[in-house]
Amino acid sequence: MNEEQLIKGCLRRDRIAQKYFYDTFSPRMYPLCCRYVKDPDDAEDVLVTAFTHILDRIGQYRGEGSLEGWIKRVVINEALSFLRKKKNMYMTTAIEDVGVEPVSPHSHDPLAEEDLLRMIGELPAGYRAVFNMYAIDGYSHKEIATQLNISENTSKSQLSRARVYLQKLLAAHEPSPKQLRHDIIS
Amino acid sequence: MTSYPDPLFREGLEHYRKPAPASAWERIESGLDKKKHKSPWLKIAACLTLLIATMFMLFQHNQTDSTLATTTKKSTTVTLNPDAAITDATGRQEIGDRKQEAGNRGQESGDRRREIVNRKQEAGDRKQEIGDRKQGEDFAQQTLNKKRITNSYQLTNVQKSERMEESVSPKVETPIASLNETNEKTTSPAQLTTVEERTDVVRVDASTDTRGTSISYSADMVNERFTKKECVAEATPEKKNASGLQKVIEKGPGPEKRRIASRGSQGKEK
Repeated sequence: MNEEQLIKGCLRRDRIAQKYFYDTFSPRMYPLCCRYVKDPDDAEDVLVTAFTHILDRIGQYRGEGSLEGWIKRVVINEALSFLRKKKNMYMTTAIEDVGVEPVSPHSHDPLAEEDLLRMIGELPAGYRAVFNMYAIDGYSHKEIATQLNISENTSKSQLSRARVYLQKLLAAHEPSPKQLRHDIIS
Repeated sequence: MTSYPDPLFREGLEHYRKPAPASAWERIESGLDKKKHKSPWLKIAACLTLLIATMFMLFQHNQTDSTLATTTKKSTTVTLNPDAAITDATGRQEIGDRKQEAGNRGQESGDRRREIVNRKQEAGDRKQEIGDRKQGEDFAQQTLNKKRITNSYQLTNVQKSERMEESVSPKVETPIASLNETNEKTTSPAQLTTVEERTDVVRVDASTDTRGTSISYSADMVNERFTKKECVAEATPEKKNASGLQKVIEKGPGPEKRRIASRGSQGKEK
């Protein structure tokens, strides 16, 4: 079943097509949810809400860009909406010079995806959202500012703080992230 | 060379696949089912609401029409016929209640209008009938007055009362008697409602009459006048002119002696 047939089946509300659609895209979207929302149950909630919305309004997809890109945008919007509702997205406004020496990726052993995911999960929600959007999902600062209703400077600030945080995590990926976080704060 | 950790995370997580929990699809499925079943019910509910609202509006419209009709009818009858036949307060109240009831029954208003039209026709006939009766009644009243005038100076109280009984008792023969019969019919509780409605309709006709003759209630009026004359009017002067024999008869013991006395007086007159 190609993409067009899949969309037509979902438009007819054919349950088999919908299940196929879900099975195709959910394994890619669930880690995305986990990147934005730390708690696995919350991530599942976001996934469920996003896919219900997608399958219900798949007619809104006009064929501009890839289907996966459209789904990804819907899932990210849903995750951001969830974070807004939770009101745990902390943002700092001032850009501060972060005096942390950047760490070369060559200094680390290849990390498993789960470890990376766990490290991102250790970031505060505001840092995490900006880092995910800019560094992984390819949003610009302007887009991030619009999406999160913050200024571009705030977005840049959040990104630099997230980077520093992650570099420290990467530098000492051997100890547990909680221990590392305690060390950074102290 | 300084580098950020961005590429590490992008390469590592951009294409990362991880199966979602099995419960997620069940929840999505149930959510889709809810939405599937929701839409027709919403449509049905919306249609029903619209229908009920329309019916309510129509009902309200009919109700206001009927109340307006009754109020206009009431006002015209009150202004044009202040001395209307229905002087009885209870009767009016009952009619008022009936009008209110009719106003509340918006659905029955159409039938009631048709009924009123039919009754208007009946009322027209009744008006003519009453007019004829009134003429006859006036004539009868005049004749009765003449009779009373001629007899009042000749008869004693007892004789007069007997005469009056005789003159009033053959009710069937005079038009007044027939009117009295009709009045009795109107005041009878069994037929009270229908007759009241008739008078109501007659009042409407009378109000629309250009000549302004209100004759629908002549029966009651005449009846009242007639009864007044019968009871009060002409007894007093005769009493004053009563003879000595009459006084003796009045003081006398029984009705049989009175009759004998009256016969004697009649013989004297002759």
